[in-house]
Amino acid sequence: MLAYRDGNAGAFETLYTRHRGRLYRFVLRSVKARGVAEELFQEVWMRVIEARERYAPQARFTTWLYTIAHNLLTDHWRKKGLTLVELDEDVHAAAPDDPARSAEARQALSRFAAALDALPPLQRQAFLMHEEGGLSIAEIAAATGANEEAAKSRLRYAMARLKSAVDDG
Amino acid sequence: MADERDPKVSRSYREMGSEEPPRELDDAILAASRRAISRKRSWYAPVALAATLVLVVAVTVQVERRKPEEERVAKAPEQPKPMNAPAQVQQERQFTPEPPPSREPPAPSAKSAAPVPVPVPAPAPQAAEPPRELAKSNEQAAGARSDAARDSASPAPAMRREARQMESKVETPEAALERIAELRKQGKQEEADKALAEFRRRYPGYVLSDEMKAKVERK
Repeated sequence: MLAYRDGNAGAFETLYTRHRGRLYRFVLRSVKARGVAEELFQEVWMRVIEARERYAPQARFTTWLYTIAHNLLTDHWRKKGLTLVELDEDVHAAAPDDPARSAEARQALSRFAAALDALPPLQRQAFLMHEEGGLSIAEIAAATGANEEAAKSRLRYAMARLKSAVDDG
Repeated sequence: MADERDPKVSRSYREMGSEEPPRELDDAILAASRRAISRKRSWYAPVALAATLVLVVAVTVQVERRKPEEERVAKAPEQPKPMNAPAQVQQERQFTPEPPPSREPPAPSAKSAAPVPVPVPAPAPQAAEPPRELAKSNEQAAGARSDAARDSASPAPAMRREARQMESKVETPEAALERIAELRKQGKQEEADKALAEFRRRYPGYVLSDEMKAKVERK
């Protein structure tokens, strides 16, 4: 990123190639609509390009990239009237709050995908950041603006539910 | 990094597939990244060029401003010294550093235009300088005066000048012999004897040729 900031266009291409697939899947599996995912994915990279002059390597580039993505997803959900609230285990144990979306997911994805889809957004983000981005708990906390305990808790709940879905299969 | 991954969960997740962004999206993003860089470069080149030009002009002006000063310093010793020039003018001239005579450059054309020394009140120092000097700024003149003041603090220039004057007064042996011969020719035998005695006292080891002896010794 520093090389790109200093005018090396090839450095951006290297970064993009390294992160494009993982970030795309992270966004796609967070919003579940391909059109919206592409729009948000592009917006993430536009923010990276625009912010190149201000970029300071205070954290891993990956953490910075997923922070931008998280912020855009949060804005997206807010615009759609969805709130990012923590759901306790009992609430999650019930069926997903959007039957239509769940049905679409069930048709397109496997049982696991349905379980992933059913995760509360923050838990799903924590899982996707960990699985796709390779972020540690501390980095997930930094990217989502939460403390490490909250990040760890979200990830643990997500893992438990997904494992349960796998085991049930 | 604490890895919370569960192998079964990870495998199941991978089985979901690995979607990639469409190629058009890749192209659009990469093109945007290149455009951003080229925008940055579009102002960089003109600014760099302008900075270079400013530097070149500044250096040229500085060199041009220093040239007259150096020329004035080099020419100063060649200026005729008026007999009754004001003391201040003489003092300023004394402070002017003199270049070694053997290294003096060939006299420029302006030298031939220098005023012939006549016993009239000396013109102002600036008037004796070439016209180019007249265009010199007050700042440079002040700088020259401060240089002169610095020289006055050091006795070296004055001592060098005195030594040169002494040298010019000292007669070479050949010149002295010629003078003695002339005195003999004019019949001034007493003066010639004194001069010859003084010559022998001054140059005890000087060997006179027979021809010269015939000219300078009393017959």
